[in-house]
Amino acid sequence: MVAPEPQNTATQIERILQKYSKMVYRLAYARTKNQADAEDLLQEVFLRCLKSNVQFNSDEHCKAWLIRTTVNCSKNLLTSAWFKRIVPMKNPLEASAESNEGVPGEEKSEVFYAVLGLPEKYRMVVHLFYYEDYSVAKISEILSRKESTIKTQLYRARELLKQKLKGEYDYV
Amino acid sequence: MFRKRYKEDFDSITPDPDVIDNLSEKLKSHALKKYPRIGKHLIAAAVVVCLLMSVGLMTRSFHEPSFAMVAFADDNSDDKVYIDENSSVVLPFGKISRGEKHSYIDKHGKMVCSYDSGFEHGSISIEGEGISSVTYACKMGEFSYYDSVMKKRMEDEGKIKVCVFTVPVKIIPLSDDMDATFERLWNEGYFDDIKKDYFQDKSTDISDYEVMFAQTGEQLEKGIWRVEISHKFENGYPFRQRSNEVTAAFYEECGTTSFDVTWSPWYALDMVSEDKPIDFADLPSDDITVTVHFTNGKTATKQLKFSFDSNGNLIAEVVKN
Repeated sequence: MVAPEPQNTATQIERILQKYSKMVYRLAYARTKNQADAEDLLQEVFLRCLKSNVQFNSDEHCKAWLIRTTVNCSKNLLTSAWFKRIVPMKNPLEASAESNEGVPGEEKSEVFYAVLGLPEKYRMVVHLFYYEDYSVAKISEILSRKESTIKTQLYRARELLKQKLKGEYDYV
Repeated sequence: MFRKRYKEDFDSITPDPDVIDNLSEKLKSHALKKYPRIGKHLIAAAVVVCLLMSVGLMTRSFHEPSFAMVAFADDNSDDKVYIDENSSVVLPFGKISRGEKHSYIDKHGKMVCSYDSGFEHGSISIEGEGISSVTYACKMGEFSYYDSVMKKRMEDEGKIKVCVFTVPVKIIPLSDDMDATFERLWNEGYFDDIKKDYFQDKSTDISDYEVMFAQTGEQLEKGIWRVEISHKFENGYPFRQRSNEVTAAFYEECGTTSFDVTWSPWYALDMVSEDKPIDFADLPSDDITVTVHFTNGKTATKQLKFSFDSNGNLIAEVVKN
């Protein structure tokens, strides 16, 4: 008798990790706005991927699953008692904008800080639309929200960004 | 410009390589823990169980074919819930919720108020022997089914993508009318080499195709677009069924996951987003009919009811066998 072959083997997960870790991390960062929480989310998402035994029928399916799970996991994080009790000594983004510390990579533009300064619900939609190049219909499908909700959130986010960026970027 | 700047900024947001290495090690050790070596006594016990199950299945095969219905959340397919007869069960997915209220001025200058609404994704499926296909039908919601085997076959036969090439951004600047710019250049002969290479036996009317522009980090640096031209499917891709009735066929390579479909209550989300008080338990229920076609030509049907409780949980019950 042969032990059943695990559906998501370590090799498969390794491949998914190498291919999508940056995508998950960036989404987690856009959601949590700090490295430590983004790293925690990254680990949580891939552990769930291993445990869930979900079978991906395409790269598109895999990517959509990872995005949805990142959003779900971050909901848990953002609503946890621990997260609510943390009172930052200074808004990490304000601190980052001043010193550029705490934000990975090189210096960021005002666009970066403007987007991270948006309310959390808008950041996800903006990130998926502008960074991942998903259409409104696809974002609606991935996040299980109505297309009109996504359109409204995108519209509101653009309005806020226009105010923040003072019309500097034409195609917001 | 905004998209370009945002992409450039986020391209440099990458996880610490040490974190990835540690995570990789952690995943490997979890994978090993999950499937420990099986002792001889456990193998013996499993053989006995298998024998008993085989006897049970042989006995059952003399009677009517049957199947079991299962449901699971998208991010945890291990946590299956069986939808048994004569009982209602809370499904591990489908929880509906209402978010924040929005108000905005629509294009007619009218103030519109609505709530965010959402529900948790998941799938239903069936388990059983000798099944060739399953048809899921509902009255209010929408089923969706993704036929990965058909998609792969179509890709291999060149029925989806026609070609991929790059174009300098300065030729097609980022704007709302990029499609129109592309069409103009296409008709003026700018892409005649592409036509010659990929469209010799095909229509050269660009409106017969889908054109997509994308950029990765490297392409951003080089200032080029990755342009993909695909066949247009007026009614959507045939391998993706989205309707109040879908049929999932059995594929050996997919096993029982061949029958996984998702159910979405768009009708309920519309109601939850309306600017009025709501009790989720008052949302209309949906009648689901699952018809299983067996390889021996027989069929079996189950009728279910999907409804929500006051907390927004999705409840399923078999109403008729």
